[in-house]
Amino acid sequence: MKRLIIAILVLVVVMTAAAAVLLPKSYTGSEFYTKTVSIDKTKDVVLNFEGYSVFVKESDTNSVKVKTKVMVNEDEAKTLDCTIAGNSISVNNSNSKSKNIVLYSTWPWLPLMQIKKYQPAFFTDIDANEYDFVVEVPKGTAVNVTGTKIKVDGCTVAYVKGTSAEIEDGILTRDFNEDVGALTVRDCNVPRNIVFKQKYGEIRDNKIID
Amino acid sequence: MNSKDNRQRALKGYVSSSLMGLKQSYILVTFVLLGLFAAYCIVNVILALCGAMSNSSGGALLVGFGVAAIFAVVTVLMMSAGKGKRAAFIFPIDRKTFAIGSFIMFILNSAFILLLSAVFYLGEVIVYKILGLIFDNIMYINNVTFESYITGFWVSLFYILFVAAITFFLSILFSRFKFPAVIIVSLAIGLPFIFPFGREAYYKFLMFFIGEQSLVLICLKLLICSMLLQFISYLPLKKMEVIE
Repeated sequence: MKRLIIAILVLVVVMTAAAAVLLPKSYTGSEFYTKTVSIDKTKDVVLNFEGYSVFVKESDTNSVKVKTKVMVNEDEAKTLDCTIAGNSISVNNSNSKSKNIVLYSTWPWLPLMQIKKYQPAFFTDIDANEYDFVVEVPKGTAVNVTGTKIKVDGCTVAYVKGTSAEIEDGILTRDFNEDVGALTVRDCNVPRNIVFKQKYGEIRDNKIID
Repeated sequence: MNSKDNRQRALKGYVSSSLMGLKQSYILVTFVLLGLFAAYCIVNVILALCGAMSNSSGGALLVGFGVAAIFAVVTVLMMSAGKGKRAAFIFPIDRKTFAIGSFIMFILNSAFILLLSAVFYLGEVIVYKILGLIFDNIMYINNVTFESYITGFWVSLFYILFVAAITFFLSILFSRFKFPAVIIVSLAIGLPFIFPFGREAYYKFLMFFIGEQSLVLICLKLLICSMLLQFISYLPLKKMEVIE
């Protein structure tokens, strides 16, 4: 009995020491990496994420926040990253393939999942889990989005280009243009002059404005 | 030698013999966990080498908790139901020794399996770190921090202890009062579901544990409830012991 207790205690000490060496002290990162970009609010924001899915939503801040699916520390290579040039944000392809396989250790002990602090990011951030990029743009700033699967929620939209796009609770600008395979426009303010070119998708519950 | 010493010796003897009796089970569980861990690592490595963009792992902690919970329930049933209990009541094991010894056994059992899972998890981390060093295109991101690893261990231990205490309580109740206890407990659990206030009470009961956001409070709640259940289980044991 004594030997068993000593063996367990030794195991606990060794394990704790090993864990202290092997495991990060704090979150070195999560599945998501966020970048904040200052922009000129008077001009359109161009989001060029060709080949990637993107979710655009409105925020009350004065800057654009881009959340990518794979995060790393600043000094490490990224599998997904974006470059900024003025009001234009696009995927940085030069860096995107440097480390293209990511192994995660995501799951903590099961009971810890009840505490928000310890929940894996994909558990709480469903949008960021579904889309390669999640972009928050300042209220009222028009967006110009290119991607494969696009979802825009509550923004002013000037242009969309992709395989499919879904615009909800937003405002379409008077010079709105689209180049989308399947377009859905729902609960939006749509200027009367706009003619949709799309073959698939649905346009419904919108408010026509002059 | 006074009665206190005798009781201590009996308790020690009971725990030791119970642990020895479970030796085969410990070996079996170790191999099950080792197999699961190896399978998990191999699958992830194959997926990574086949070019899968991302592989979520960290399964040793998740699976380990599940295995520890199942093992705890099975062990409690083995110890407290029918044959196991009758075998335990041999002089000088009385009901007090049995109740305290069982509680110590629950803690040791659960701690052992959780420790094994924790060790295997570190193995998993080492495997992925080595993979990241060997292959240039593999990146390893570990979201399990030292803090969550240690605190999670304790919360898991208290949860399993609680589950074991509930199982022990029901098992003792059923073996003491037989059929009437089954009917009464089934009705007590099933009937409230019919009424909205009953469902709400269940919800509140669940949230009392799983809704708690403070680590200290959740551990305290689980520990107190486990000890309370253990004490209540001790009462029906009164007429079961063999007094010699």
